[in-house]
Amino acid sequence: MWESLIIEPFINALLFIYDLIGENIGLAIILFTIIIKLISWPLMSKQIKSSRALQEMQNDEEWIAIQKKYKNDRDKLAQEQMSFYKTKGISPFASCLPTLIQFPIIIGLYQSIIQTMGNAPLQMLNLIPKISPWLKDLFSFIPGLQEPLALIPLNSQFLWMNIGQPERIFIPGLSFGIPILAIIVAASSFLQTKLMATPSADSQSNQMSGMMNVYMPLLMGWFAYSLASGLALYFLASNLFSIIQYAILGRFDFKKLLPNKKAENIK
Amino acid sequence: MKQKIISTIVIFSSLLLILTGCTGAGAASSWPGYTVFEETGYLSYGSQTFAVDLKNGSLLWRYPSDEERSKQVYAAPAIGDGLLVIGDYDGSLIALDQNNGTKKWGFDGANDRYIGAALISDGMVYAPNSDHYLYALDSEGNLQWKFKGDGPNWTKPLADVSMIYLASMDHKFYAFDKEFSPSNLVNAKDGSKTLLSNAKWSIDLGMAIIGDPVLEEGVVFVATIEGGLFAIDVKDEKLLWSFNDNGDLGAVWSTPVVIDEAVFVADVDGNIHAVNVLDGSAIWSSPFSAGGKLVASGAAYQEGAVFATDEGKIFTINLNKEAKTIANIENPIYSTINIVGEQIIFASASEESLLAAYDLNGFGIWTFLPTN
Repeated sequence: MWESLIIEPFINALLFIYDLIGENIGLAIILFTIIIKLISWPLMSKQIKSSRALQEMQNDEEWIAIQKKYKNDRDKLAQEQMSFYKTKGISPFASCLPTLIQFPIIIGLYQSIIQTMGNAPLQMLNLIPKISPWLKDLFSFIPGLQEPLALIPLNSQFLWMNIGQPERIFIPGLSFGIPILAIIVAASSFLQTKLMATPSADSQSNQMSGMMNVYMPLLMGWFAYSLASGLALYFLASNLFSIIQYAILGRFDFKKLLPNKKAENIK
Repeated sequence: MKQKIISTIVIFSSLLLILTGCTGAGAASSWPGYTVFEETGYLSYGSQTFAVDLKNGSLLWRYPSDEERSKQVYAAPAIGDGLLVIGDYDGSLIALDQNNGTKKWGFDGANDRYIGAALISDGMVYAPNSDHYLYALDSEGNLQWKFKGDGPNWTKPLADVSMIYLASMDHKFYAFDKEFSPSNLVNAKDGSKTLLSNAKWSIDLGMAIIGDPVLEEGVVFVATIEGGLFAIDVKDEKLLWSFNDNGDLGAVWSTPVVIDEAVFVADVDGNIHAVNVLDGSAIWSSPFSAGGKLVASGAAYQEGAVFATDEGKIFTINLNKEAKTIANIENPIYSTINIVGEQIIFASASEESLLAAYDLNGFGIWTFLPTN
C-alpha cells in the first residue's frame, strides 16, 4: 500500500524529471522537492496561518483573563478555552493537521530518493520492479527521452558531489574532508526553525522553542554529514523553499534572528 | 520544566531512530559474497570475511578478528597466488594470506564501493569499483593502471590467456589487452598509469549489466537488467546472437549457466530459459517457472543445474525441463550456488545459518553461523 501509493509514483516521477532535464540527479532532486512542496503549498499555508492565529490568541486580553481566572480549575479552564475557540473561529488542531498530512509525503520523498539512487545491490533489486511499465509508454511520447530502464544506473555526479555518498570537500594539505553541504544544511535549518518559531506568552514554551532551534539544525546537520549527499541536497532544497514560502506569506521577520527579542515580540 | 526537557530529548531521539530506520543505515545492504577454493569457502558478509572448512562447516579463520560495525564487505573474495583479495564499501581493497587471513597489503585508491568481486590472473589483481574504474594492481598491491568507464562496475572481470573482460553498468562489455604498449598509458601524479584510450574493443549491450558474465570456449554469455542474453565471440570481437524470448526474459542478476549445448538464464521474474548456445534459439517452448525471484547464480552439475529462489527453494533442473525440489530453507537466497563434490553450498544470510551444505537429495550436512 505504502509502496504502491507513495514510493513508486515518487520514484517514477523522479526518474521522469531526471531524464527530462538531461540526466542530472542533483537538479532532479531539487526540482522534485520543489514540485512536492508546491503541491503541498496550501497545507503549509494553512499551517502557518493557524500557527499565527494561535500565537495572536496568546496575547488576547480575554484569553489571558481566562487563564488567570480558571488557573486552579482545569475542567472549567478547558471548557472556557473551547468556548473561546468557538467564538473566535479558531481550530486548535488546524496547525497540527497539515503537518500530519505532510509527514508521510516527507518520509516518502526521503525514501524514494534513497531507493532511486540504488547504490547497493538490495536497493537496486528493489528499484527495478518499481519502474512502472507505463513510464516506458510515457517516455516514448516525448522525443529524445531514453526508456526508463536504460537510465539505470543514474549518473550520481552533481557539482563536486557523488549523490550516493556523504559529501566532503578535500583541500590540499588537509588530511580530512570538509562537509560543506552538512554545514549549509545545519545553517539553513537554524534559519528556518528560528524564522518559523512562534513566540509565546508561556516562558516554558519559549524555552522549548529555543531547544528546538538548537536540536533541529544539529540533527539535520548530522544527517547531512553522515548520509548520502542526495538526501542532504533534499534537506537543503526543502529548507530554502520553506523559508521562501514563509517570506511570500508575509511572515518574514528578521527580528526573530536577533537574540533577546522574544519578550518584545510577545508584548 | 524538567519533564518538558526530557520529553523534547525523547522526541528527538525517536525521530533520529525513525529516520535512521528509514534510511536502512546499519542494515545489510547486500547479501553474502562467497567463493569456493578446493575444500574451503571464503565468505564476506557484514564487516567480516570468514574462511570455512567445507568438509564440516567449521571456522578456519576470520578477518578482522573483531567486528567493525562501520565496515561493510559484501563482494565475493578473489583467490589466486596464495592471496585472498576483498574489497569493502569504503573503497578499501585488501589482500590477505589465503591460508591464515593475515593482511599482506591494502589499496585505498578507489572512491566508492567494491560490489563486484575482483579477479586474480597472471600475477595481477583486477578490481572493479562503483567509482567507474577498473583498477589493475600487481601482486604487491601497487596500482599499475586504471580504466574509467561511464558507470559503476558491479561484475567480476573475466580473463583468458591474453585478455581481460569487464561487463559494466554503463551498458558496455569491454575487452582489454593484458599486455599493451606503454604509449597507451598516461602517468598520473600518484605514480599510477591510466589507460588512455578506450579498451581494445567494446560492445554496447544497451542496458546495465549486473550479473557476472561467463566465458566458455571463447564465447562470453552476458545478460542485462532489461532481459537480454548476449553471446559474444571474444576472438572475433563480435556479437554472435542475442536472446530475449520475445520480450519475456526479465531482468537478469545471475550468471548464465552453460550445460553442453545449452545455456540456462534465470531472471528476476522467476523464469528459467534454456537457450541453444550455437544460435540463441529457445530450446523450450515456454520458460520454466520457479515460483520465486531468481537472483542467485545457479551451478552446473552432471545432470543439469541447481538454482535457488529468493524464498529459499533449492531445486535442480535438466535440459528436458524436469525439475526436482531439493530443499526449502525458507530464507532468501541471493548468493551464488556452488557445488563441491556431492555438496550444494549456499549462503542465505539468515539467523540460523550464513553458509550451509546440503547433498543432492536434500539432506542437510552442516551449517555455519559465525559466533563471537
